[in-house]
Amino acid sequence: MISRFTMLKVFLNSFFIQSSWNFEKMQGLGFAAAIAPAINDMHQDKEQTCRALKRHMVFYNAHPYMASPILGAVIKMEEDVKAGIRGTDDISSFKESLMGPYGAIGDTFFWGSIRPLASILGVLSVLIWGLWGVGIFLVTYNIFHIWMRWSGLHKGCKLGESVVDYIKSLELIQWAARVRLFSTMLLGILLLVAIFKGIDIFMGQRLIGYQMFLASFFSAICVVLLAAIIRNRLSVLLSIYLLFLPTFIFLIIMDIILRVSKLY
Amino acid sequence: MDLILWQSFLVAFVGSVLSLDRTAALQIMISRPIVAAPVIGYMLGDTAAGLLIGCVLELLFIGGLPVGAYIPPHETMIAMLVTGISIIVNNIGFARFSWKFGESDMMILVISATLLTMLPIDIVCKRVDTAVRVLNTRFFYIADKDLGKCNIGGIILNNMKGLGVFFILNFLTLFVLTLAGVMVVSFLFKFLPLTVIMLLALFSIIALIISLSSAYNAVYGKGSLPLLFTTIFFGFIMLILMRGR
Repeated sequence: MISRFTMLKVFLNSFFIQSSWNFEKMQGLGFAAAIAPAINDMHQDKEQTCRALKRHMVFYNAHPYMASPILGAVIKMEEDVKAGIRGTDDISSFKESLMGPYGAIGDTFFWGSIRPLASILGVLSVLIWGLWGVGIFLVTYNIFHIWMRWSGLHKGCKLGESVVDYIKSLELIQWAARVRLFSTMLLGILLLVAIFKGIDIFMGQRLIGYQMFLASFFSAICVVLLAAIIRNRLSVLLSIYLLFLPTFIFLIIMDIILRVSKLY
Repeated sequence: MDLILWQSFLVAFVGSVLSLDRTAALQIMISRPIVAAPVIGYMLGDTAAGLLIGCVLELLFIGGLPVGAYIPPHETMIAMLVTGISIIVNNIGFARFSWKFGESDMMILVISATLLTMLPIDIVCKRVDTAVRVLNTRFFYIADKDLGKCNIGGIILNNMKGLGVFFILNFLTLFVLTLAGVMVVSFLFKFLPLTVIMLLALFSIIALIISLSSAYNAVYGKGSLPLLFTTIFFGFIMLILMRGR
C-alpha cells in the first residue's frame, strides 16, 4: 500500500494531467507523470520502476476529473502486478475500457450540468451581491470538482477495479439531469432579476406590476425563441452578427449618403 | 503610449497565467470569464466593468464543452481582450462624445464596440490553442526516450514543458491582440457616425438576451420549458411582494 504522502503527490499531479495534452497521445504523458510518484514508491529497483512507467506511456484520454478513480484503481492493480496476483495486460485493458465511458460521464456531469449550475448561480449572485458572486461561483463548482478528484483517487486505491461499481452507485448521469432542471429554475430567477435591475438602471424608473409582468414574460419568450434558433446549428457568435450587423451597415451607408448629399 | 504598452503587458501576463487553468493545469475554473474579467478589471482600475463583461461572456460561452479533441471557443482570451481593451480605450477618452454621453454610458458603448470587434478573433485564439497541442506531441516522445534511458524525472519535466508552451503562446497572442484591439477600437470611436455609436447601446441589450438564450440552451432538457415559465411566474409574484409594487 502506498503512503499517504505519495497519494497526496499523485493527487496534486492529477491537476496537471492535461499539461502536455496533444492530438496524438492526448493525456498519455500527463497520466504517466501523475502516477509516477506511486510507481516510484512501489518499486525499489529503478529498472522495474521504468518498466512499469513505460506501460503508461500510451494513448490515454478521459475527463480530467474522472481520471482520478482510474489513477487510484491502476495504482492498486500495479501493486497486484508487483505481488504477482495479476498480469500487466489487465491494467491496459482496464484503462482502455474505462476511457470512453468515464469521459462521457465526466462531460455530462461536470461540463454539462455542474458548470452551467455554477455559472448561472454565480451571475445571479453577482447581480445581487456584487463581487461575492465570483466566490460563490468558484466554491459551488469546486466542491464537486475536488470531491471527485480526492474521493475518486482514494476509493480507486482502496477498491481497485471495483471502483467502477462505486462510480456507478453515484448515479452521476441521473444527477446531471436533476441538476440541469434546478439550473433552469435558477435561470428563471436570473432572468427576472436581470430584467428588474435592467429596467431600474436603463429607464431610471419603477414600472407598475402588470408592466413588469409583461416585460418579464416577453423577455422570456425572446430568450426561448432565440435559444431554439441557436440550438438549430446557428452558432452564438453568428447569431449576434446576424442580428446586429445589417442594421449597422445600413446606418453607416445612410450616414455616408447624408454627408455626400450635404456636399452638393 | 508607454502606459498602454504596460497595461497590455499586464493583461497578457495575468491573462496567460489564468488561461493555463483552462486546459493545462488545475481546471478550478479561474479561467472562466466571470473570474478572469473582474481580475483584469481590478488590475486596470475598473472592477465593475470587468464584472459586467465577465457575467455576459460567462453566459454567452456557458455551453462550450471541450469534448474529446474538439476545441471550444476560447472564452478566457476573449474575456481578457474585451475587458483589457475596453478599459484602456475608455481611459483614453473621447472629447467628440463628451457632450452627449456620461462616463458610465460611454463605458457601455466602448464595451459593446470591443465585443463586436473582438468576438471573431476567437478564430485566431483557437488556432493558437491548436498549435500548442500540435507542439506538445514532441514532449511525449522526448519523455518516452528519456524513460528508455531510465530517466524518471524526464516524464514530469516534459509534462511541465507543455505548460510552458501554453503560457508562452497565450502571452504572445494576448499581447499582440490587446495592442491591435486598442488601436482598432480607438479608430472606430474616432470615425464612426454618432447614429452607429448610439446603436451600440442596443447591442448591449441584444448581447444580454443572446447570453441568456445561450444559458437556456446549456440547461435545456425534458421539462425545462414549463419549469422556466413556472419559475418566472412564481418568482415574479415573490419579487412583487418583496418590493411592494
